[in-house]
This record gives sequence, structure tokens and C-alpha cells, in this order.
Amino acid sequence: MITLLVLILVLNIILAFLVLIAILKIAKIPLVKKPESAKNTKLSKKLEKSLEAEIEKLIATAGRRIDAKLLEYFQALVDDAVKKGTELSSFIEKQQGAIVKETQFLAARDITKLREDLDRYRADKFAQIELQIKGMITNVAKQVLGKVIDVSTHEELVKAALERAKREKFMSHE
Amino acid sequence: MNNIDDQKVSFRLLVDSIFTADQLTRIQDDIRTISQLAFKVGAGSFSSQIKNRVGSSLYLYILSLEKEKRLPAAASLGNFLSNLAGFLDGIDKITLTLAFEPSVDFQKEIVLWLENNLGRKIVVDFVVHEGIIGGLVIEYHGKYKDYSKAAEINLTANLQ
Repeated sequence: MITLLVLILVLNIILAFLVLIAILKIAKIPLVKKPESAKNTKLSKKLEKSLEAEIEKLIATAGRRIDAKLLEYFQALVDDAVKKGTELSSFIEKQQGAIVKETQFLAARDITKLREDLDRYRADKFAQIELQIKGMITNVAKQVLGKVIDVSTHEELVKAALERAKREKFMSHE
Repeated sequence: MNNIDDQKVSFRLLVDSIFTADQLTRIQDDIRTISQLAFKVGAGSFSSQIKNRVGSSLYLYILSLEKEKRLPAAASLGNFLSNLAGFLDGIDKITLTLAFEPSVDFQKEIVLWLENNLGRKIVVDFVVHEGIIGGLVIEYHGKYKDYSKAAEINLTANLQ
């Protein structure tokens, strides 16, 4: 933007300089001031004033044009900024929406995983408890049965076991 | 009594009185003891010499052979005892683990049952282990089978 301003300024200066040269040519005024006679001094001052006025006019015109251009340029910048701002706002809204959705998804997934972990933990604990209870029942059954069984029952159990071994041919020769 | 069949008939007189592995081991030890005495026959009968050195089973067996005049002469006594030891070594042995201390009658009953069902002479090594609760555990010719109540309870508990 600064480059553009400098360029416009330089162009205007060159333009003003060219206009000055043209006026001097038309008025047959030498560029380098020669020693003048007293007769020409009055005319020279008149021309100088006229030239200054012209130059001021030209500079004013160029200034207005530059201002207009700058205004136009700034307006374009403002419009562009507004447009970009709108796009950015829309982008941010979209991103916010995506982040919210992703957060919701992650939170839901964490909750599901947490539930699964809890279910697994509960199942493991129940299995352990069941195993312990089974072991206790087995031990109690063994102790109670061991004390309750009398000799004749023991003998019957031994005979029954031998009969079973016979049926299974456990003691037959290979 | 040079005939081998006669010897076996004679051996069975002794073997019939054996039904536990402990008894068999004791008699085998006694035979080793009297085998050394067989070559030192001195005054008196052989049975009188071994009376205080061996168990009653072997003593009564030798005594009965002497009375029946079936005990071999001193020269062949060593060979006779060697054959007897070999015969005893060939007896089948079964280890039965029970949950209670079996009476002698019950031990005999079990051994008889086994001999009748297996068709051969058997001695049993009775082991008592209350942990099996009831029934028995059998070890025979390197095989092992648990017919105990403890095994049944464990199986039931594992199936539930």
C-alpha cells in the first residue's frame, strides 16, 4: 500500500514538472533565468504568479484524484476485510461446531468404555467370589462328609469303587 | 520235594496267609535271613534254629514242612529258599488308598475280592489318607485312578 502511494506521488510530481516545462515553452521563458532588464521584471513576476496558480491548481487536482483513489482503495480494503471477517466468522462457527461434535463423540466413547470396564470388573469380581464360595463349600462338604461317614459306609464306598474299577477294566492286564 | 510243581503247591501254603504288602516284605526279609542259616545246619531242627529270628508265618510254614517231612535236605535247602523268594517276588501288588483304617477282616475281604476278580495272587499295600473322604484311590502297575469322594466333590464343584 505504501509503495502504491509513493508511486502515485512520484507520477503526480513528474506530471506537474512536465506541465511547468510546457508553460515555460509557450511563454518563451528560458528555464535558466538570465539577467533581466528592468523592463522585463514586471512581466516576469506576473508570469511567476500565474504559473504558481496553475501549479497549485494542478497539484490540487492531482491531490483530489489521489484522495479519491486512496478512498477507493481503502474502501476496497474495508470491503475485503469485512468479507474476510464474515468468512472467518463462518469458518470459526464451523470449527466450533466440529469441536463440539468431536467432544461429544469422545465423551460418549469414554462413557461407553467406562461402562465396559465397570462391567468387566464386576464380572471378574463375581467370578472370584463364586470361586471362593465354591472352594469354601467344597472344603466344608469334605470336612462334614469325612466326619459323618461311619466305618460300614466307608467299607461300602470302597467296595463300590472297586466294582467301578472292575467295570472300567482298570486293573485288567495290558 | 524236588518237583517244581510240588514246591509251588508248598509255597502256596505260605502265600495264602499273605494278603498285605507289609506281610510280604517281612517274609521276604525273613527268607534272606534264614538263607544264610541254611548252610550252617547245626544241632536241632531248622525250624528250631529260625524260631526266634523270623516271623510266625515263615516259622510255622517251615515247621509244617518239617513235620510233613517235605522240607528239603540241608544241601538243597538254599535252592528251595531261593525258589521261594523268586515265587514271592512274582506276586502282583496293588496300592489302595482309603479314608479310614481298615480292619484285618476287611483287608482280607478286599484282597480276596481282588484275587477272585483278577484270577491271580494279589497283595495289597493299604494306605490311609482321610483327605480322600471316602472310596479309594488305586495304583496298579504304574497306573493311577482316583475313585474317591473328594474327587467326586471336586468334579461336581468344577462342573457347577
